[in-house]
Amino acid sequence: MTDLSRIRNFSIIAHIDHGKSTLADRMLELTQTVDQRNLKAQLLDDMDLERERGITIKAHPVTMYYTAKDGHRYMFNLIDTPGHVDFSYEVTRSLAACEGAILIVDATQGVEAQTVANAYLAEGQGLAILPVINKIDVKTANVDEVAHQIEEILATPASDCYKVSAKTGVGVQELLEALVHQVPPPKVTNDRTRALVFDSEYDSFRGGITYVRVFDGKISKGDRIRLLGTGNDYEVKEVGFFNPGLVPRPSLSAGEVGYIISNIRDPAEIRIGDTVTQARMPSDQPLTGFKDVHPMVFSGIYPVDTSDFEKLRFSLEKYTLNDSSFTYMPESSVALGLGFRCGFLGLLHMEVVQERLRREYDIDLISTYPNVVYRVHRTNGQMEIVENPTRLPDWTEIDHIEEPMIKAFLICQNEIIGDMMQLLMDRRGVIEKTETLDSRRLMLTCVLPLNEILIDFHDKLKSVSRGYASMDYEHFGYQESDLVKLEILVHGDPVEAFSSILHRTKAEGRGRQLCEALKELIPPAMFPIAVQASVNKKVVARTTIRAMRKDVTAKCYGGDITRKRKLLERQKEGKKKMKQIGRVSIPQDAFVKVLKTGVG
Amino acid sequence: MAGLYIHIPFCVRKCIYCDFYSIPSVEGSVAQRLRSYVYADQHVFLDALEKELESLPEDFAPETIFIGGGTPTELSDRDFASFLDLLRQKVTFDQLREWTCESNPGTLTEEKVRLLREAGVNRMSIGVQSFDPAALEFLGRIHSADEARAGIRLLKAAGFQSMNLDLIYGIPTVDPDVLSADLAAAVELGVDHIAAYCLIFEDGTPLADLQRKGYVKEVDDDVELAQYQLVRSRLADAGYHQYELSNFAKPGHECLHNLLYWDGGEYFGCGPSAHSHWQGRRWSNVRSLESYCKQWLTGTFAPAMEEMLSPEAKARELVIFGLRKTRGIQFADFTARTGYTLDQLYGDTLGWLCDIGMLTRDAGSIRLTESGLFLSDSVFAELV
Repeated sequence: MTDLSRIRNFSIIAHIDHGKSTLADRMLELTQTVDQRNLKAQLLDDMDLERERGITIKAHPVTMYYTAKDGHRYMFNLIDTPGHVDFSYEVTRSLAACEGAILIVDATQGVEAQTVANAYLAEGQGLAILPVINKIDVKTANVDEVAHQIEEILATPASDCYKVSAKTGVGVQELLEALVHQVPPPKVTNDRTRALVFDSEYDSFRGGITYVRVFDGKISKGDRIRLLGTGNDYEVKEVGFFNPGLVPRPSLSAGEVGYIISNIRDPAEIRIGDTVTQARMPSDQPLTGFKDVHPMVFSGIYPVDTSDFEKLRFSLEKYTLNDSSFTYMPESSVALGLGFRCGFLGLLHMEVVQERLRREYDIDLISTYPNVVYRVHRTNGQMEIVENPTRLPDWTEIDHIEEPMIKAFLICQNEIIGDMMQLLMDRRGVIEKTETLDSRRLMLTCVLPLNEILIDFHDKLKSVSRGYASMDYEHFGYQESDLVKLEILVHGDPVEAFSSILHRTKAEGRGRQLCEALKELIPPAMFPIAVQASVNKKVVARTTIRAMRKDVTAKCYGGDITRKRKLLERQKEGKKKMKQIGRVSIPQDAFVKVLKTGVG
Repeated sequence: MAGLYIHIPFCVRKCIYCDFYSIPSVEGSVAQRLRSYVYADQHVFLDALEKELESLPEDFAPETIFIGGGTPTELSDRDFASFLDLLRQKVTFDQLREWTCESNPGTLTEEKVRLLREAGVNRMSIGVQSFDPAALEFLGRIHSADEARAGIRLLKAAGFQSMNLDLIYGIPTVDPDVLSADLAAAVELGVDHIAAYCLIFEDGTPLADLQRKGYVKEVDDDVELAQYQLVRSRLADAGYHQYELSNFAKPGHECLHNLLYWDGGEYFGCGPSAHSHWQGRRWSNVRSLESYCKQWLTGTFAPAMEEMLSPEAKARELVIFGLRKTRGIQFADFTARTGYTLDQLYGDTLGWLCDIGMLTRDAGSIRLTESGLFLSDSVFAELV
């Protein structure tokens, strides 16, 4: 059992590439937690993954021991956060396990949107924040200006910033010393055992491994523990520290961070934010903040090759063992065959999952146009969660619909503020405030529907700002909105797969876009094909695919009747492969293009 | 009714759009070409053909003969004479109503015309294609417009009454208005039959190759459709009745041999790559002069392709080829021949094709509409 006054629990939060992994590695090195050679290999791996996926991959927690100038030996528990607000619930749980946070800002880049979003989260958790300006060794570093930005945004005096080069190690020692003094030690508040579940992993041999921060009491090998959220009891097979691998210990005590291995076979039983207590003397006061997280964004995932369906199912099963926030249900699409309706915490989560399925399980996937989760209030007073536009009730039965909102932080150059505001307004955004960051940049805080950033928003943002703008967001509840279901009719027949839910003001434009796209994708037939977009049975856009002009074999190969017949049979086969909507043949390709990109 | 087709696999040079089997003379005289292919004397092809003709059933007496190619008139005068003699010896002529020979205007000689008349050929088909120098050049034709006119004069002078003239439209790089002049020129020559084809980009031809490499583009469908309409209206005005998608004739001068193909009739095809249809079986000869000669001269003939169709497939085939004719399909005749009714075969598809204006039906028959003609492959693909 470690003396509470000798424990410091903290996180490092940062924008991508601002040097989080490098700083962590330097700390591991200075505290002699990992020897230098192992360190290099690990560092490189992490960096590659980060760069390639443009996100921060969450690392294990790690326990370090630091001997301070006061001569005492301190236990430092570094708890990593996923670093993106798609995982904001998990971020807050990780932060809840800490008393302090190091906020890194790159001296050459300045404050970015992700920095702001994460700093607000840490502040909201009541953590002591240690602002660190990193990369001070780089020529283009602008330390004073960055310190000024931190003062503006975080209301932290510029003089309180720690100036560090994680690469060269300059200032890191001072930072370790500062952790001892700036981060408060853990406090015990309850007389019964309570530990916060802030993460988990699944090991195919040992089952679910629960990551905990013990707040009160003690958990030892052989104890019977209870998860308060589920009420399930388990026997503790092993407990230990991350140092940096799993190192078994007899017990975990208040203030400490470690892992518990018990007989948990189904990883879904471990819920982030849950409270672990002793089954014999359970606490009746769960640690605050437990939430059941629900997916916010849905998309269909289909194998390109329909024979890969079982392989996909198997891959999804395996994937969810280590990512319980991801959900999936079998679904069948007239156009794409058998696949799954998948739920994600957000856009980035969706991209990460899809990419990992492609790579780690080697399956070619078609992912359909994503949509958010709507709350549909029926005229009879019932509320219904709609995850798929095709499941929207008939409009006569709908009283109103609510859609999920986000609060977004955008940082951009001063001179493009006009374009930026235009972009946000086009996306139904309401700008709450505009703050000056420094002489070149400002920050916009804006509330807008999640649905509006699902498609191509990041691309637009980057193109408007020539790559300089950054954005992050947090979920901001639901809001009633004038939403409608847009249907596409091909030659009078509705094509369910093309339906979407969107704001009334966007229906006509999107309808026209879809009609025009389908005009290019549906081959002409013997008759003109009307392609219509309709809202509540009223046509808002239409286009006509004119009849084909020529499909004739003028000369008929002398007596070679067989050849001609075979050519026609092939033509017929080709048509059969297409999806028949009434008498119109729509190629698979058209569905894929429209469903995948949403067109436009 | 039955027919006989003879394939002469030689030509002066390959036209860029042609995908029929023939060996061009850039590879030498016919004799040399034969030698290089089969290491034998110049009569080897005729010897092999003789064997094939001898294999025909004893009682086979064709009502139509069609000599095509290649270019039959590319044979030397002497070879040509031997060839015609061979036919006269080996084929029973007492049922013959129509004997057509294809010719290229650049290869017609007085001697050949005389031989054709003497042999009993009563119909000539002349591959004119266009009267426009640029079009002829593009297509790779070996003759000029004047040579085409001279050839026809020669045939007329020799007493040929019945003549077909082939025209091609939809030629890339050529002014679409050229067609109007071509039609006028063809009509003025007073032939009794005109076949006007929209150029086809067949896989494996130099034309398709040029297209694939991006040097030429198919003429726009709208332009081709307009050209087709021009062909139909001009030829109708000049007294030619359209009896098939691409074929026009003065009344009573339809090509019986071609009708045989579209009517599901029986025929033997002799020569390399030729196709036959006899007693429900379809087969083809090997598409190689060398193999053809070896097979027939060593008694080892084997069809390159062979099929027997089920009664239903046979009936469907009859529909898609029968509909090429403007008079369409007569219900009573169809049922008598196949044992099926069209409604049995197609259910409501026929009604739908009528609804969208592709087909039109009356009490006794069904046929393509005007709009259906140029979209006929789409219609047939529904019916095959």
